[in-house]
Amino acid sequence: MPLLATSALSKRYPNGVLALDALSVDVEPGVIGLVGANGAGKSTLIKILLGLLPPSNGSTRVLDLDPTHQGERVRGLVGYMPEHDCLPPDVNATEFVVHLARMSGLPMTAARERTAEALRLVGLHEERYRQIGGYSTGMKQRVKLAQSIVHDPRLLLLDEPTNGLDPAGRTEMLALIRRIGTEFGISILVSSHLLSEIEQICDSLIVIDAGKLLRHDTLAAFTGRREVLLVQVDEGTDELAGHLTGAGVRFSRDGEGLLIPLDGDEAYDLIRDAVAELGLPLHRLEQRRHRVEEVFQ
Amino acid sequence: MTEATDAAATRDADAARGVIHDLGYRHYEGVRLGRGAVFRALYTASLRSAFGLGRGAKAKIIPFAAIGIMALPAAVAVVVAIVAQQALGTELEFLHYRDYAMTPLQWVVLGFLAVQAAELVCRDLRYTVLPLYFSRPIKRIDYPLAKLAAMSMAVFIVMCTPLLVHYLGASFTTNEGLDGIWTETKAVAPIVVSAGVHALVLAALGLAIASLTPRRAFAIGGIAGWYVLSNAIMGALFVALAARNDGADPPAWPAVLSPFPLLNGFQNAALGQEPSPIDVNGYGPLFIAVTIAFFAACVAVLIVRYRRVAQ
Repeated sequence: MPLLATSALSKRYPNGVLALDALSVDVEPGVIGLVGANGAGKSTLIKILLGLLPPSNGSTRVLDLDPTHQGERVRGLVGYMPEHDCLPPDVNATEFVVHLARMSGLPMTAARERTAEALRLVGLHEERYRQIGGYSTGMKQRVKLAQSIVHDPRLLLLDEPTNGLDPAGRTEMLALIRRIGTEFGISILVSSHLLSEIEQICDSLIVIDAGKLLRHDTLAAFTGRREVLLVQVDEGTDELAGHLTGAGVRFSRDGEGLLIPLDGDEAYDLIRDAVAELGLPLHRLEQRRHRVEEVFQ
Repeated sequence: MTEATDAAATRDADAARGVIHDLGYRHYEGVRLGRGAVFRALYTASLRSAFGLGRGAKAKIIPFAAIGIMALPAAVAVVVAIVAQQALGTELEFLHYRDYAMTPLQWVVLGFLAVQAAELVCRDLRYTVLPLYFSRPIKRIDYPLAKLAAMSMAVFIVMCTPLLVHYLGASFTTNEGLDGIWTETKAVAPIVVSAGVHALVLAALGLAIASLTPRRAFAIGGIAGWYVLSNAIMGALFVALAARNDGADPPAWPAVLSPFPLLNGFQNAALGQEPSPIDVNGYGPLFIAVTIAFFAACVAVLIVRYRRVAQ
């Protein structure tokens, strides 16, 4: 059973804007990145998946349910973190998340326990008894994340969760999302307009532009060969390049260094032998991942 | 002790089978309640916040001041009745149950309605909390209806406070035993029903106006403004009609334009409460029809508002 599937899904708003245009995609469980520029249709897709917006055309399945007609059941199994601010400043995080846990159908005792658990997991400790109005942006994002996992959903829909965070905050938030996706076994659809950001944590990517599907694939497929080896020598880069060409190795240049596809351990042996044979001063030998952005260049 | 050894035994058994206990995250296996239970939870939470319960002391000032002021004349009436009975040996009733919905207590009800209706709906609009509700297993309509139920119950409680004080006072001081209590019960029952109708209509009006703005001050001003403006129009019509009638009593129908006179007329027409400042003579069905239509219109505004509100 796919996690979610859309078939020729279109959404035209009453003002004539075509937000989604015949989008068809089958998504397997995991951490899925939803990438597109602002206005590409990411939020519209998320709202349709939640059953909050009816599609104009086409169909959707989420966890094998139809969100348009079984919206309440879908929303009972899904957690949602909106893009914008959604926290009242005059309550503390515990009260607020307990209330929302009850709105997800948890009895009072369970709501209290799960709230303590969710706030602990997102890293809010003593602060949880302080009013939300005094929180930093990073702490507010954590409260938003906590309310989305408090009812133990099977799927999380996170709309631009790193918005407004500083670089350190982004890194922490991404690590937290990755952890929820891998250790907690909750599938996650996470949207972002920054490809470089979410490719670090995703198993697969959905790229949309102007409501159309550009590409949907696993991250490994996106980057072609997943791993590359960066070799830098202090001098004699050209000699090394010549040698590698002679040995029939495909490589590319990256500034001062050479990028060699890493298919197995032979690549390491090859470079060791080449450098030793030519007597070159080896400066750096480093495993690197292709970045998805390079694919689109 | 047995528990400890049991736990140790289980742990050893698990270790033997190679079970890994991941204490990082536990899935929730308990019950998930349905839409009805969620509706009740939202109703209860809203009713509590209408009285500032679970909030700081400041949030309790207005609701409990309203209850206190409402109870005061009833308490005085009870004391006067007791004194009259013991000192003069006569039964003295200078306030009737129906008087507690009149001015100036009407203004207390109005103030409570305006401030707490704003509290119930404006916060969620102002801080755009609604998407967190709508992404949960309820229908969109559940939110305004739960708020309406909570606000109605809150107004009902405030309006019933003096009735309860008066009823208990009268029942404990009656000379006629159970017959006296039965007489009081018959007298208060239609007023309790009337308070329920007041509560439903006023809550629907208050929430319909408050839900149109995220700003609390505008909501309070809007509700007060509706009261003042509708009373002014009603008064002007009465004056104009009286002038046309050459000073004779004008017909009662302009009273349907203003919420409290409308409800007073409803009480007069549907529950037979006389005397009434709004003497509906001949216009009874009109008052009943307008009360129902006005309530329906306010509920419709509220529901449409929450269907359209940005998510």
